[in-house]
Amino acid sequence: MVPTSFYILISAVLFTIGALGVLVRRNAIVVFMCVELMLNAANLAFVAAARQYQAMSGQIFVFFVMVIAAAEVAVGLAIIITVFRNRETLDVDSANQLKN
Amino acid sequence: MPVDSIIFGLTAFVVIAAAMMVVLNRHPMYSALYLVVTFLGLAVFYLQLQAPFLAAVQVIVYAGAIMVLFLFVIMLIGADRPMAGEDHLGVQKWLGGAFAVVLIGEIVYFLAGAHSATLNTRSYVALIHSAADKTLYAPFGSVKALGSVLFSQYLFAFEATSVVLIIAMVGVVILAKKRL
Amino acid sequence: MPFDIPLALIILFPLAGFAVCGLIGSRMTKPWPGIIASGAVLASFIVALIRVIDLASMPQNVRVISETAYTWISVGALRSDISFLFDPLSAVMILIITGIGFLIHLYSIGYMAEDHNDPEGKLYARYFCWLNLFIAFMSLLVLADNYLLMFVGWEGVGLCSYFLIGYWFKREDAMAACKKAFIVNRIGDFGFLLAMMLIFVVVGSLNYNDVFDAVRNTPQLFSVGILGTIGAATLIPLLLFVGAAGKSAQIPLFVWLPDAMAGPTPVSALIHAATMVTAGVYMVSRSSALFLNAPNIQILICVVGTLTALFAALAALAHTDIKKVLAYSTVSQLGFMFMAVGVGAYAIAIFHVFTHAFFKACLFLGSGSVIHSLHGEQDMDKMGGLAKKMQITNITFLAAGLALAGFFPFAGFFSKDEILAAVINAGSGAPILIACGVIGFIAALLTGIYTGRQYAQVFLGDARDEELYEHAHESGPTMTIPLIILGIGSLVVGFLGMPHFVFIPAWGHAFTNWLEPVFSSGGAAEAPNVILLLIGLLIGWGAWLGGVALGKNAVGVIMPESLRAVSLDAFYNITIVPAGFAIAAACRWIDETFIDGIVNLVGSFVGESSVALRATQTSYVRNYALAMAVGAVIVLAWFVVK
Repeated sequence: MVPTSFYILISAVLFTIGALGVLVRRNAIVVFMCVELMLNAANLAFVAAARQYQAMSGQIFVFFVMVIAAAEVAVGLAIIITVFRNRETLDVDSANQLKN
Repeated sequence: MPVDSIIFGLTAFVVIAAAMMVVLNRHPMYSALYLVVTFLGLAVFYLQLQAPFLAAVQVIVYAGAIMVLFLFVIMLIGADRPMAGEDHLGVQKWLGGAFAVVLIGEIVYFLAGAHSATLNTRSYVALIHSAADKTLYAPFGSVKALGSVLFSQYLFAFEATSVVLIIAMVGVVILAKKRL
Repeated sequence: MPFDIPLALIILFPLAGFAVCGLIGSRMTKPWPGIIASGAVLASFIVALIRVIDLASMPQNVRVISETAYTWISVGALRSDISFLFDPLSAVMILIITGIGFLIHLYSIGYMAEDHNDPEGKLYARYFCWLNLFIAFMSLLVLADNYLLMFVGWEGVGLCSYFLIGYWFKREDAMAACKKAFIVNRIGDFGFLLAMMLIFVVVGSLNYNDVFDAVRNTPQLFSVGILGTIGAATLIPLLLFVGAAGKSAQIPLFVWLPDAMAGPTPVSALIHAATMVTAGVYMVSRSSALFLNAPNIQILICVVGTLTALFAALAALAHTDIKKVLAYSTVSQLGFMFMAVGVGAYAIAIFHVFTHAFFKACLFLGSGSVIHSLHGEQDMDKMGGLAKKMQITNITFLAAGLALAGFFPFAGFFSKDEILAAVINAGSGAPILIACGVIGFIAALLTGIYTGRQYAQVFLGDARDEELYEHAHESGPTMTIPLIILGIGSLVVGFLGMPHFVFIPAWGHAFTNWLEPVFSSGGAAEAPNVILLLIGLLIGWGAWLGGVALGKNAVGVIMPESLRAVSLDAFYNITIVPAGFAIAAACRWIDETFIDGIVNLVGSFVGESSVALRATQTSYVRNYALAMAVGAVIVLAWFVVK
């Protein structure tokens, strides 16, 4: 049995990579994908902890996270499409009218 | 070397490598595909962690539905090209990198057990156990166990999520229509 | 009387006049503000007269009326009410103030009606408004029964003097003069304030009765040392005298009085001859008990008074402006009054105040009549021979001038000579006083000379300026009636205070007897020195005749031009004024560099920091996301550190 802390470590690394992606990428859809990556990292941590403490609550939580993530992706992509229709670009840096 | 560790090591390598490719790739299409690979790797992790149902759900919902949705949108709005224009915020890369390094460092520090004494883990564990399942009528992680807990203790949340899904559908339809 | 008329009415009538003239006076036609104001002062005079009669009907040793009108300040140990003390001293002063004040108000109705400085007559009501306020404050000053209330009146008359000197506010000389008067007065007021504070510290109360009882019964209170070894017993009288010197124009604070002639002539008559300048003499006399324990200060007062009398008399000889001569004459006579005060002859000093009020006011009003008829000409070199054209003015000016010169048997002779006699008598205790007496006689000689010269230059001889002479005319009755009354007064009031010779009936020393019980030290009950009186008599006659001779021969100025530049004003301009400007410049530098610098620094700091902070508003979402992430990391770090 692999120790739980390894899984937590993997989860942390995935989370960090996802956060990095959110900060660095300019394409709105890719940013969204990195957000999904972060969510999955959290899911992994939950499942690992559920296994360690033998508590089903962890897996239940993951279940709910997946449901909500699905709903969120749907709505988010709809928003991105609407924004794209207005602006013709997917660059998150294009929203800079509040500069200084 | 037990099989567990080998599988863990390989899957970990795949997952992390794919995640990095998601971030570093310039084509959004390739990022999406690498993300699918990441999800599949995570499904393998779930299997190893005695959560077979979740592994299946991960593949079906995440890799099967969500990523398909992503790919549809990418192809619909023609985002499959690399981003045009130059990046005005070059410094963001370096700051982001520093942030990432610090974060990893902190988490490793915690995991190394330096603070397990101050974090009163015992009470958390008791909390988890007390709030958790009484007696499982099935082995841990099986569908039966999941179902029994889901429909007894978390029934309200389950119903609430169904409402969320309805709202999401309605919202998407309204947002995406060209003319209301 | 069926009921006691409250003393407060004496102050309230002119206050009401002030309010009426001030608020609605400008809408009244010409003589009405004057009539209202004069009526108010007349009412005060009648009330004062009635109360004086009440006072006289009381037995001599308890001749005091006290009335409290209003509780003003009652804080901790300090209790100071608007309450009045009416004793013989206040009675004399209040009769002078309201009586002569009324005559001057009457005079002003005619005098200010044709004002070449104010052709549209817009300022007329304002004049009477301030004049009434002045009477109110001056009455408050003499009726008060505690030092704080007296100080209110003191400041008030200074204020009204400022307004009245600067009455023609478009004239530069008037504005400079009124500021000068106020500022120089302030210096004296500072001394007075310090004295009051010391009195309060030592005695615990500012009420006259409390203070004088403390001096009489517990004099050891006053021996507390204030500045090293100088005790309160010396310091308080000294500071009180500083205050009096400012108000009553003694050396070195007399410089405002000649400049104050820039105001209208009736103002000079009332304020700078009869009443305000005598406030200092009144205050010192009232505080006679305090001066008893400070013989050194008394000698100082006498010396200062003597020097003032002499130098002012010399200055009067050097001027040809009709009002300036009278101004310096006033300073000189005030010096005489302080000489008397300095030797403890308070009753004689007040007697001189009384006679001086009559003849000086008459002289000023007479000069005003001359100026008025010559349409503003004040230079005596251009006058002459007016006796034929202005009879009433001529005769009254002559009477008052004789009184001033001390020409027996006119009023000034008695008061001035008793002063000199008292000073020389007191010289047995301190030899310096004999020198003062001799100098006083010299000053009396000079007084006669310059007064005679002035009379002769203006009224006798031939006209030096034909054109002005053609237009000269006698003034109207509102101006001549007060002149006549004051002229008669200058003749006769002297007989109220004659020296105590055997053959003089009791009413002959009614004045000094009246004032006797008020003062702590002896009044003037000593046997008179006949020799001194005869010397004074001869000096008075001789000086006058000599002066007239000088004036007739048109010898205007005895002093050469160059000496005129040597004056206290010039000294102040060299020393104190530049020092004051230097201090002001230093303060300005501190204000502009430091204080403004600090304030500007704070302002610019805010501005600069906000410009710097503006850089965080990049508007890029990614930057904001980074900020949030960094924040989260920092929070985590805190847990790490803990």
